[in-house]
Amino acid sequence: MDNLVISSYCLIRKGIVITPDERLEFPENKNDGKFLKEVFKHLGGSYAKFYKMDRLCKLAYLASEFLLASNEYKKFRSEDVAMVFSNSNSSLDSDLKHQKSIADREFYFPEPATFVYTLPNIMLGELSIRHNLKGENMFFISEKFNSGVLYDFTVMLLRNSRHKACIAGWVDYTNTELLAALFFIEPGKETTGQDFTPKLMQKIYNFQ
Amino acid sequence: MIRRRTYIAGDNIITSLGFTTGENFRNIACGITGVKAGKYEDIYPEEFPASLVDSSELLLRSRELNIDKDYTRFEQLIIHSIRGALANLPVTPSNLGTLIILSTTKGNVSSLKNNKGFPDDRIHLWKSAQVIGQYFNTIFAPLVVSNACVSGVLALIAAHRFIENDVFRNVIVCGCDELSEFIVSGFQSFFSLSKDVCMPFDKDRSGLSLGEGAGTVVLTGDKSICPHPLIEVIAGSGSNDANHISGPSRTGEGLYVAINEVLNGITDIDFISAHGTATAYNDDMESVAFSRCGLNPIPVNSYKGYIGHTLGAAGVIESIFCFETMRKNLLVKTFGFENPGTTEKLNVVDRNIARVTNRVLKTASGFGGSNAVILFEKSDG
Repeated sequence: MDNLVISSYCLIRKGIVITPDERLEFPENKNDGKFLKEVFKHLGGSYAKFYKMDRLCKLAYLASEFLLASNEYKKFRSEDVAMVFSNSNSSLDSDLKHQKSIADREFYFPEPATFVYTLPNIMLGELSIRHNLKGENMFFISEKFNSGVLYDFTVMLLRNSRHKACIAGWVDYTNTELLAALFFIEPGKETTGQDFTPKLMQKIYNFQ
Repeated sequence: MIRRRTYIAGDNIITSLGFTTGENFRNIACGITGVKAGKYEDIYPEEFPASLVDSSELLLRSRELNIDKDYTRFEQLIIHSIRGALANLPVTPSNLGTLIILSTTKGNVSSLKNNKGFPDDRIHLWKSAQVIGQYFNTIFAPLVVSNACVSGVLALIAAHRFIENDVFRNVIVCGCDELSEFIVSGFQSFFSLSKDVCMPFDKDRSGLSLGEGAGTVVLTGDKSICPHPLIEVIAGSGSNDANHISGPSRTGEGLYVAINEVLNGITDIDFISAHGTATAYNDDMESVAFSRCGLNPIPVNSYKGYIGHTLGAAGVIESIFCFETMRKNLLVKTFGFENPGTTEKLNVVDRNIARVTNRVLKTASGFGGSNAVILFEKSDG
């Protein structure tokens, strides 16, 4: 097998989007919802499903659009691109929303459109639909970004299964924190990307 | 490169039907279900059928271990199950070569309603993992897999890969979910709960039954510590339908892809333990996927009628039922199934059948379009 490389990445922090080719700033937004919407507009704003998603999935969706825009991921069969994601807060933002809807038994209004987002791996479903990806999905929860676990698992997956490429990373959202860091990992050479290492993932994750 | 083989060293199941694997399997082999209709005030305002772990029995057992005050009910279930699976095994969780993987969808989510005096950060799955790691003195914080209803099978697949690649010598996989108002109200809002005990693969099935529990499997690369007959993990795989976030693909695409990778040409399997939630869509989808793989003649069952859908624990608990099926050479009937009613015809196990069972396929499908499949094989070692 060739070396594994990170052939593209996307980092989204509050007000900032960073890819290998550009750095976008959305300085005026203190409100997360508005920020996500502006990034969506920057991308052309044509994917209608975006409006149904919770903020966690919106964030994952936006990061995936930047990640895959410059990437020839379609050269792989759809079932050969895996996703290994992780975060700290699971689906807490939607969990709180669902909990609010059932807090008062006199005024009880649980909604399926909210409940379905109370699982962190729903973002993997959303990205699978958007980009037609049928590879294996894995979602880990860890207190902090753990590049070691993502690295180990991605390498094993690419070594011991049908998968030829993998989108790995971190997408975390709460009403105070927002961060997405996605990496596209595939076999390659120096010319197609930098060597896939936990250190490189950590370095990109730390970009400000 | 070394590729180690992965064997099953020990296991435990805690559900409404008992606190050991043996107790649980004896009950289901006798056709006893733990899914009971009732008015569970803490969990839902109206009467509904569910499979719940006996809380007073759990409390007694937790008092014996002195874990009744410092651990939530969810964490107590995990501790009891891991201890049960490790009993008499020379596997030490505190060893450098041992990893714990927790599989759960919602962990301590009931604490959003009432945290019972526990700190707020206990809502986080990683915090429960940390607390469990501290209890067992592990070197690494347990890894948490949270991938909806396929979490359990995925956690077993992850364990297999860690052992295969010699990253860890032993992996303890514990799947656990506690039933709560959060979960029940959500499924009710989808109108996906059955009014009675669920009826997998039946023409009159009308939805799923929910359950709770914990299941633990100790996987190892060390054959010498395993009981006989030996049970080995042969392969595992996952795939996404890329179709819908809350419903399965009508063509069973993801499940079809995952089964094909796992079987990789193997045709002689003896039994399939399906996901079999008893929703119209899920069971139809499975029948289509199995049919596309040419597996319709293989006996298939669902255990959901005995213990309900135990969410993050389901794949682990149902895999252990598969181990018992191989150990006892007994296919257990699908509780709730009477008349066939799926898109494609299946060979649903409708009575207990004594039959030599050497190779078993376990499948799971869930929200987010995810599917996971694992293949187990029995041998005399």
